[in-house]
Amino acid sequence: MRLGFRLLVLVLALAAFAAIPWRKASHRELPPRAHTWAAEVSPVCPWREPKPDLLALFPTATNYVTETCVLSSVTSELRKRLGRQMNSDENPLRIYRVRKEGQCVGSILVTRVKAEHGGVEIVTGIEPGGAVHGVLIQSQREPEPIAEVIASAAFRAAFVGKGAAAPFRLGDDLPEVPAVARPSAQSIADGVHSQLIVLSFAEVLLANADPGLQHAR
Amino acid sequence: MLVLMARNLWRHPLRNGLTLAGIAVAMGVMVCIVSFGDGYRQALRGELDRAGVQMMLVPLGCPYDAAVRVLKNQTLENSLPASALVAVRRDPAVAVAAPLLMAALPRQNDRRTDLWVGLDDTALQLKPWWQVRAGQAWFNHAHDVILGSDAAALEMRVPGDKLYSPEIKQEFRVASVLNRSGTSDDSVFFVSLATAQQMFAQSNRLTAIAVRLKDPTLQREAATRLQRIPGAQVVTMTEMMGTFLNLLGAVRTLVLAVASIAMMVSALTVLNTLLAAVLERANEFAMMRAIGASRAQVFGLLLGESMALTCCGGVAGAGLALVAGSPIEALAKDWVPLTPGGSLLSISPSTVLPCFLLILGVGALAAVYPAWRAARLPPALVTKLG
Repeated sequence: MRLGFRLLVLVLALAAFAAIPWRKASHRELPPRAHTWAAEVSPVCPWREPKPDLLALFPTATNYVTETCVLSSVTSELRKRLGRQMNSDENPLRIYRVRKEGQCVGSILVTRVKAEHGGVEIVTGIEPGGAVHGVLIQSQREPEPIAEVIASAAFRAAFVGKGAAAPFRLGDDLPEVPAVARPSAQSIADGVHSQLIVLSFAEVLLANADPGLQHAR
Repeated sequence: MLVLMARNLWRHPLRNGLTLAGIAVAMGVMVCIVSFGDGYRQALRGELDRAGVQMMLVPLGCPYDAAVRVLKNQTLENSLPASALVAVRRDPAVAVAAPLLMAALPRQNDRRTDLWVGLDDTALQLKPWWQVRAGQAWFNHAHDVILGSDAAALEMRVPGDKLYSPEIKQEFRVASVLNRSGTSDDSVFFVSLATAQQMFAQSNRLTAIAVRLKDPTLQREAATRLQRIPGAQVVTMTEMMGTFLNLLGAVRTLVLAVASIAMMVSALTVLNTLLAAVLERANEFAMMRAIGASRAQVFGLLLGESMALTCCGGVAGAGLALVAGSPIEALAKDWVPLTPGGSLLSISPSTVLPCFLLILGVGALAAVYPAWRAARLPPALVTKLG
């Protein structure tokens, strides 16, 4: 009798397992969307060409590993610090840890910012201490006079060595650029700055989660 | 009787577990195939219905390839003369004829492609999902662009923003952003037809003309007339759907054949398991007969064991189909032509139940011979076997 009962429980469990995720895929409809003027949420920015970017930012790197950090517990502090809502690139934060023979030599973050003529995708190399190691523009659709400025080595080099505490203002700690390129250049500067701020919060969370991690890096 | 069945099945958990796994896999495959076929048919019909057109005029070449490319907002190598539009609109059966000019601009450095579609306001009558989420309803200026929702999200644009195309070195103003439609239009940059013709140096040329008829029953006559337009060919949506469903049907038959083999193998496994059980338990069956069990009762015992095994396997198979359905769907989508958007897997009681009954039938059939052998064991055997 006990055996029969056990078999019955097994069959019922199997039936429940099959029934719980029962889907009616064919009748699935898109939910109605509110008519608002808000911008569509930008999808997560992909890292389009990891290999050449890795070599350009960290020439001695041997590989990279992806680490994800959920920042939901510090959202309100981060919102205050950034002065805006967090975007899909920032929470969860995908950190590409760059390694050289097993040792972490830096991190890479990828994000998309709103420039004057379209989205600009930025790849930022960050040193273990939290300062900018290098900046690359992986995608942009600005007219030539603006593109020449924002993609120039001189403009990108101006970010190197800056930490999250720097103001990242054009004509202040960053070089002044022609007026035509100013809005897009400032967007990129803000984007890089935001990445540093978000990463600094993430590092604290990760270190608290695993105190041995900082040492390992 | 039930307890006896359960105890017998429990005696060899590994053997019976493997048999059950075989049945589950066969059931899972069968459910996935049936569900995928049903889902594909429904999704394709939905996609073509949403397209709002009954036929399409495309340049000479493979008409189905051309029609698929147009439905997916991809470019064609050939184009139609604009005069074809005049001829189509003159046809008495045509209610709406919407000209389209499409171009894909690869952005080599960014590993992306921008899809540009030029259209005039007649296209709105064929796109019932066209809903402006923000901004003006239509193009006011030649440099206005309307963005699909994904394109707007990717470029972070809202109405009034500028948008630049580095490939053609032209600046636009975002006139509006569309609501998400779940179609390929979501990732498109729409401009007016005249702007598109100027942008891509295709003056007086069109990629396709989408046609809606006043009366769908006039389709054949209208197609015959429109077919006479020089440099153009007509593809009706019914033909297109039929062609793709035939193609899918052929693939489905092939896969069903494979699933049938899996089903046969599982039936043989059940047969083998039960035969082994009969040989092992000959003494027990003989004893049952000796103490008064009828042949029907012995037969029923084996049949019941088989049914319990296949029943559990069937339930597990249905669960397997639900879990493994999505990855299988993702794989299948790569082979199938014109995969409509959304999920193609339509797992519902109406697809699972026939498969379940089939597997039960197979289980019952596989049990007949072993049960018959068990029932025929003479009661006197118990004295021989001790």
